[in-house]
Amino acid sequence: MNAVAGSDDGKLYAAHAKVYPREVTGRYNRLRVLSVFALLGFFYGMPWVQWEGRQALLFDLPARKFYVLGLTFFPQDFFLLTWLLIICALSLFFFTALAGRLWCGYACPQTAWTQVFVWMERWTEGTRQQQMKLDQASWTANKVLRKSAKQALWIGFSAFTGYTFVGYFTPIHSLSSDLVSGAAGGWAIFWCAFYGFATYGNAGFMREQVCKYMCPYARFQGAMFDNDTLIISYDEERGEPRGSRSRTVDPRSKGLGDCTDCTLCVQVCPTGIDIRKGLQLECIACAACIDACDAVMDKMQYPRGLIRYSTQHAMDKEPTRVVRPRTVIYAILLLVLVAGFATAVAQRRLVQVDVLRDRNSLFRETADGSVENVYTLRLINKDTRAHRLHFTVENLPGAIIDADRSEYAVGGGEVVSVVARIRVQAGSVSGGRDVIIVANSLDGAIHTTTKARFIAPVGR
Amino acid sequence: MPHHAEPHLTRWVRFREDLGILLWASFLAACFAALVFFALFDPTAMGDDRAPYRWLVNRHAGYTLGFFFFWAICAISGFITAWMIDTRDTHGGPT
Repeated sequence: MNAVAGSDDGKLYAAHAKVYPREVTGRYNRLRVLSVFALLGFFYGMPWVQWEGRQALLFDLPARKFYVLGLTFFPQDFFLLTWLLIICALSLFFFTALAGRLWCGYACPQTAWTQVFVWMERWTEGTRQQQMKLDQASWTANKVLRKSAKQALWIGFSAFTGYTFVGYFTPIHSLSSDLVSGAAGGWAIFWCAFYGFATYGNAGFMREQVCKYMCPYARFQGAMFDNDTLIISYDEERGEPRGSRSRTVDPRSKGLGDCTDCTLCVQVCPTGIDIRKGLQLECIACAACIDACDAVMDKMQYPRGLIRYSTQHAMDKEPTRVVRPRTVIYAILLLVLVAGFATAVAQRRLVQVDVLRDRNSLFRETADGSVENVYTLRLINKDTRAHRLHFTVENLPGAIIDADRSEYAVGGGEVVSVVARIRVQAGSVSGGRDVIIVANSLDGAIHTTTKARFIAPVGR
Repeated sequence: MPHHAEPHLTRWVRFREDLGILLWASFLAACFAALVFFALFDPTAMGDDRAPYRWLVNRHAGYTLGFFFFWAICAISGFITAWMIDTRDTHGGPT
């Protein structure tokens, strides 16, 4: 059965055939394993790290607060998140232009989790050959046992992943005790299951199909490529004509290139392509084929690098330029954005005051002959320590602000709503006027101004 | 190639891929929509005394159902788009 889409029979759709990536060892594989441990280690470990008595990294959705180390972010800081996402996107462009699909091969969660699922498959079902044989064999007790062991590992690991994921959005310590005691909310359990299921499906079954059919980055990354971008390529000039030979025979005397046509590069490929056909959309640049080929070259006592990291220019025997308009522009943009982001975070107002006008009445005339507007002040303390605030009003002569109490204490990371009334002598103002509500802390650390609309009856 | 021998199977295989792509694309769009929407609006602030479903005015429920609502809307849009630009053999185009 031919599994390659768009293959010889002229049909576009062929049934998907499972890719059984062969085990590989070598320097790039070590790098990839290191990267899996670093990234997944961070993912599974980070929720347990504490900072000043609370979770260091917590996107507390139920409380609408994001904690990142010592900083607390509120929905009002949304533009910072947008900014951060733009920085991430631009970094991706920059590294793609420079070094190709580094992201896909080493850093993408899809790659990392697939790798772990493949390991579990190998522990339970054995090597590539054993797996293929097992899948073709009839359902013996051995097969049932191996398949169930694999499923048990996969499902357990997926469930743990889902639970860790939810631990980023709701404090993981209370989530754990709630799950153990059975007191966890339905929504939390639902999201654990949902994310666990997504992990199971993506890393267990979809695997390279996610990269081939679903990933938007895989579709547009080619736009960032040029002839100086690092790619994985097969040295056709050196390798062809390919063919098997004995280690003792000089290939040139048989008219052969260095490729022994052992097809190991194809067998180790997680997306099931043949790199010798040239750079393909499916290639996630994981460099497994380089490791496989280098091992064969060592065995044959040929120089390494028949398949290697290279650039189109290098393959064409032209000089490769790392510094070029594309990389320079990306780098400058990235620097400007990162500097701006750091400044924006550093200059963030520690206390923000949101003013909401009372929706029920424009104004109220009191018995003592003054006009009164009612507001709700939301005091958002993004600092880690408490502040005591009192209010004054500017830009409206003779006005006083009455918030019942002379000062309000807002704890670190807390939001307090205060009802405040601005009063002014009737007749001193007509119609609408922008006023400024000033919040000062008693120790002088906070001075926040917020604009509000004051409305009085017209023409009296 | 068993799939190509029977046209209805090919149609099903194609539909399955279309469905996968449109569910995935709408998932991404829904993530983005939910992110922006819930950054600006707090589910607990959306209900008042006349709100028909009190249990919805709760952040866990609001976020979850809000996300699936966006996903459903985006998927419907994707489905109708895919269906309306369908260029399969009915127009004599390439199969």
